[in-house]
Amino acid sequence: MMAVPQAKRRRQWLSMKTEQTVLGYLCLIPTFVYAAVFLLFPIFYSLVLSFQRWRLYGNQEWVGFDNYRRIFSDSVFWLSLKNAAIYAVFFVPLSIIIALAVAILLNQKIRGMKWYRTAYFVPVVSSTVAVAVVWSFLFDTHYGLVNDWLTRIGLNRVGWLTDPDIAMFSVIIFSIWKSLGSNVVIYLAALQGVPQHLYEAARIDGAGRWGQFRYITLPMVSPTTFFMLIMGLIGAFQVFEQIMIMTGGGPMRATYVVYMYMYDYAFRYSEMGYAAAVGYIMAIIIFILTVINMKVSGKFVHYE
Amino acid sequence: MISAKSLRPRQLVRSGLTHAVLLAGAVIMILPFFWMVTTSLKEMWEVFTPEMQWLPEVPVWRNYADAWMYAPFGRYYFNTIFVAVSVVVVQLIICGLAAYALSRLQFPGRDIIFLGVLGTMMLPGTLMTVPSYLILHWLKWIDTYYALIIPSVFNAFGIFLLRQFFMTIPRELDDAATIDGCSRIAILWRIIMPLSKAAFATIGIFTFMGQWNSYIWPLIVTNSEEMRMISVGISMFKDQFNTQWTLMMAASTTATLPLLVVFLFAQRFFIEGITLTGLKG
Repeated sequence: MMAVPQAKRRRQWLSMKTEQTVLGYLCLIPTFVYAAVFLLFPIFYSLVLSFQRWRLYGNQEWVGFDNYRRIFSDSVFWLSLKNAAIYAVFFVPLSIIIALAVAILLNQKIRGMKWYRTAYFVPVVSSTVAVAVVWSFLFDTHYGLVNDWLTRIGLNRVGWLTDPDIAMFSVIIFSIWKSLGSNVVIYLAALQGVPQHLYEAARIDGAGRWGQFRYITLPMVSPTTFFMLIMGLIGAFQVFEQIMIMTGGGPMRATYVVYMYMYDYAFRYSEMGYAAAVGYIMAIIIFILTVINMKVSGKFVHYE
Repeated sequence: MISAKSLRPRQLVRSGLTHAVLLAGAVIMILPFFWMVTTSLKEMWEVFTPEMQWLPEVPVWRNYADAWMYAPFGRYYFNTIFVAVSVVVVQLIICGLAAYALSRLQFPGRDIIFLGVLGTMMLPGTLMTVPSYLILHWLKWIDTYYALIIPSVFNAFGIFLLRQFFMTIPRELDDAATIDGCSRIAILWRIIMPLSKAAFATIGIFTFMGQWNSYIWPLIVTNSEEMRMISVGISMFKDQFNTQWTLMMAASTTATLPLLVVFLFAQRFFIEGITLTGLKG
């Protein structure tokens, strides 16, 4: 090494650097190609499309803000947005609270913890469509298990999926059931990361169970809660599968959500420009929600 | 393990309550599956009788034969497995290469590219649905395996996960291999990849699960029966045999069982994968 002259060493070092650059970009070619075709292009092309009227097999026609005007004056759009909001407002907080409660119970070094964890996780790995079919059966007004039990204890049958006032809540119950396990497992990991000495210190200071929960557990898992809140909201605004299977958006559009609205315009009526505009509006709403969330949560979230 | 004797009564009550709550929850989680399987083995009249029955008098396996006769579930299985395995393989190659570049090589622009990859995770799917469909339409890929596979081969989170994992592998191993005459790609292939089997398995199994259960995209880009994946098949089956609950439960069991078996055997990777998802925050 010592014998290598300065110039030669520099040349070697330079060629090593170019070699790494070339190899680095070569390794990233598939990523770049995918991102260009299926991420960047769609973002821009969606925007262009949203200013056009285009039935898939007809002419593309420039219509300015027409699609947006039509969307905002369509009461069905507002209804679908309202329904998605109802879904999000109930589903996201409830699923987080229940998951935290279950995770805290499981975290007490309890016997059979792994068995419980497995049980709670089984719905997560199941096909949403298949288990939504099963729940349609459970919720069936005449032959469903749920109503069977209600009548057994002397209550009236409920139109879980046929009563417009109730259908959305049945879907929310299903969604909580389906996704609970993954939130529980995430919370369990977060809880196991809370240092035990904090609890000991709190006990010495005279904190009870509630105090320990309020002043140690809750702040320590707040980054996890925040993450679930953001991801939950993004997902909730795009809910589709379970509604498609369980109610098809009915009864009387009581569960008709905004993703279905976009789906219908794109793939039933082939109004690609209109659907792209709906997609953009949804993306902007999701973006605004995320930003608000970050601003508000920033005050409450505790990072080490 | 703490024996019951060493517990004070209050603790005993509390642990009893904890178990009661958890057990009730677990029953709610599992009961729908139990009901799905038992119903799939009942006669129709057993479903419609006012006296609820937990188990069929005699298991009716014919329901499965009928369901499989009315819809090509064998074909659905093949499509689903073929698509899922292809997506997993291509995705792992793309993620592995990208993660290698982003963790082991020094080149200008690397950190910005990494941030860009992370940023794509925030893009909502609603923005992509229409234009991605149009791209496939122009390529004449609608109703082909390409349409089912190619749009799913990228996984930003997978790249992130593998990159983090690669960074924990000591660089001394690379140096030792270089001295032994290994090229950089050989280092990835013969040192980094074998040491990251668990990370690859986690991503692979999650992708496989996502593909097995995916519904919207296959629904949009396929129209013929031969191209359907299992979830789409089930939803079409429901439209056709609505209220024929025994057949529908047989179909649902058909769709859920394989993945549940995989889950029970590879539970570790599922749990790890979800845990890592949470750490993203």
